[in-house]
Amino acid sequence: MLTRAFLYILITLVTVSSAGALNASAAAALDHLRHVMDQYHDRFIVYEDVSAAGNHFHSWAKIPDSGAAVLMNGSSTDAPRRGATAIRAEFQNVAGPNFGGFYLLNGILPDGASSPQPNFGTVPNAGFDLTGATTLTFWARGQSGGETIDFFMGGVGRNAGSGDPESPYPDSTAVVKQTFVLTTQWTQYSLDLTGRNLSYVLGGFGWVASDTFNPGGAVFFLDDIEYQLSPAARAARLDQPRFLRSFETEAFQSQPPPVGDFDFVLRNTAYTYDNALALLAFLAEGSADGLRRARLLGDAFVYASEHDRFFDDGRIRDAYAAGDISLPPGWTPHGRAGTVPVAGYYVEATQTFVEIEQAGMSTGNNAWAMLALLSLHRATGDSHYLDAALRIAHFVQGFRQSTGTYQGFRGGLDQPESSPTARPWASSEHNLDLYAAFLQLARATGDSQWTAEAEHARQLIESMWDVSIGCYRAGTTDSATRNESAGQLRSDVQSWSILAIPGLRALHPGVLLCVESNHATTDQGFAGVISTRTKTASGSKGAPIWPWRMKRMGTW
Amino acid sequence: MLAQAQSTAPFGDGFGIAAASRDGLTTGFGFSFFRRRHVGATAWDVFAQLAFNPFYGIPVHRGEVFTLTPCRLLDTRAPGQGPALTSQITRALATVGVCGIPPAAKAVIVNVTVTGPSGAGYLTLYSGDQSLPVAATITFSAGQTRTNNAVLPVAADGVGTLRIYPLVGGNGTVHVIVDTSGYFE
Repeated sequence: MLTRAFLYILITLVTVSSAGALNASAAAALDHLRHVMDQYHDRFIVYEDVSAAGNHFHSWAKIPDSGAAVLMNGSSTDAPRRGATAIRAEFQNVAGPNFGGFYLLNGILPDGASSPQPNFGTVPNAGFDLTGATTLTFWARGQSGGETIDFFMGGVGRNAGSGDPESPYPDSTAVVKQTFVLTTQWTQYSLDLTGRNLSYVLGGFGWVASDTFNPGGAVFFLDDIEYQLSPAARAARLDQPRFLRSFETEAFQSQPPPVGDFDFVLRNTAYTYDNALALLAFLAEGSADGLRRARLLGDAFVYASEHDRFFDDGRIRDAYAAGDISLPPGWTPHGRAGTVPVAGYYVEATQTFVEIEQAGMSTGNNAWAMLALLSLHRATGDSHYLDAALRIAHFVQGFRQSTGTYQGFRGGLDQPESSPTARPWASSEHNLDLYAAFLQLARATGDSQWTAEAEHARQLIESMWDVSIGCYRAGTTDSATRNESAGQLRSDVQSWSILAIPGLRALHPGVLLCVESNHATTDQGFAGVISTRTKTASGSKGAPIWPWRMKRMGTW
Repeated sequence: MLAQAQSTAPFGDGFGIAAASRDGLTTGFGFSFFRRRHVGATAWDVFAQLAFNPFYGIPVHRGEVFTLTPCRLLDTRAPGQGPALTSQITRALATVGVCGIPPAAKAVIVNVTVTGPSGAGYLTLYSGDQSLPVAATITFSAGQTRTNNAVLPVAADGVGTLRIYPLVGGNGTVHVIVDTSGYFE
């Protein structure tokens, strides 16, 4: 696991701050967390950027059929209105009477499918309830100006003229359509949805162009397609469980690695660890709104624990996708409806969705989910949170190492879905997390088995203390071997040990000297610590960040 | 430094905290760091500013963990506290009223030291109202002096009983020192 930015500085601050006083820095930090939490839920987004967490209606179907002479590229970097990308749309006027366009459908994702398929109203239970949406707004610009385009929503499975149903499970509204003439400047347009029945929406957005008004064809761009919500609908959407995306990525797309890839790859990633911390930060704030937000995050963890696409044992993945807590209606990977989405990114060139952070499943991340849920249980008394923490704890017990010189709990699994393999190594940090989590669980349940498990984790931690350097080692490579690599001495293990193990400073009063000696640095005008002492002492600077590992998988 | 990171361009906006001071830092564990505003780093700022311990979901100095000046609960070498523990004979230890531990204490923070064991073995410390757990608190070899720390629940019997179960090879003996530095309520 990961990075604990500025943690040594944190420890210093802990000793000097006034408990409970919401100073300017904390208030601003909480503002940031609230912003991140709400950024995809104060409206209903169809398209923001490619792979953005708030996007919906992912099945793009040609009109009138697959042979239509139309193109769409959702990853265009040609002067997007905002963010990294826009949609480039093109109508090619081939010979003869001609028209064509695209429909952005919710579609369906049947068991075994690797990408969503169109649904024109033949499959039930596959539409969004957008009741309370007031307008559909979008931004558009023409490449040359004068492009005349019909824009619309709804009407899927209905007669285009009469609006009468023609499919068994059509859109709940007849088509809502308006023609706009574009200019070369980004301009916002809107479709009025007043009085429409939006309880079952299959077609979120669409456009059609014809040779009548575009004899030379048409190229235009679309961006920030959104349903605006009534105050009541907005409040209801903001009250839905969800995860926060971990990083505020920059508007890079298809840039050379590593920077561009980072911003592209992690655009919608919500790490479990970050979200556990966010929950705890809202609890720390102590306000009614903070508790409400903590509960929404706790509900998201409970939901994820109970609605995995593959597993039934309550485990938590290392990362999920931000945005909605469940896949769209009608999307049923492995035959399961309402599963929690995983993070990833869409590659336009190959039209492939690449999942990330699914190549492993870590005990440390599961421990952080436990820590968050158990604190929330104590704050609310809601047994759902305790029950979820217990399920996670039983999952983590599967990694208990009960033989060998170094025991504790191993790091988790690699390839958990395709070829689950238990990791041979154990992490000091994971075991610190587990120690505190098991202690909390023991106190919440009164069950002494969790005290014993805490002690088992703590024994591994203590066996990592290297008296020769006055530091905790990062962990083991297997149950017989302590990882004493010079390049893998972690700062977070030292500083976290004080927070996780009450009374630790009595045992190792100099534990923070390890950080001062091995990790203190100055970079870019910032004095802080590095996360890991690398092989060359000056080779790494600054505070830590999260890992980003990616895995291409064939399914959502 | 956190305030500086929160406000200083190019990655600070006055609200979120970036995860690193520059892009592409290596970690030694196969992943890199980038300077983007980060939920985790920002949450840690909240903890720091509010003196909040996320591991236990409590304020650092206003919650249920109470620290004590290190104090000796038991020393079997001391007059009146011996003799050394004999293998498989459990010793009960009252904690309430000793070293400032109050009746409300649910668990105590201890350092356990063994010295002069006549054989290899282990000690298991556990609550006086619970059954003997599987996990040992500290293990040792013959003649070895070792120390370990632990957080141990105490019995809700009014005196906060801890039990110490020794197993020493050759049905031997071992001296035990138990120090405390705090407790949980």
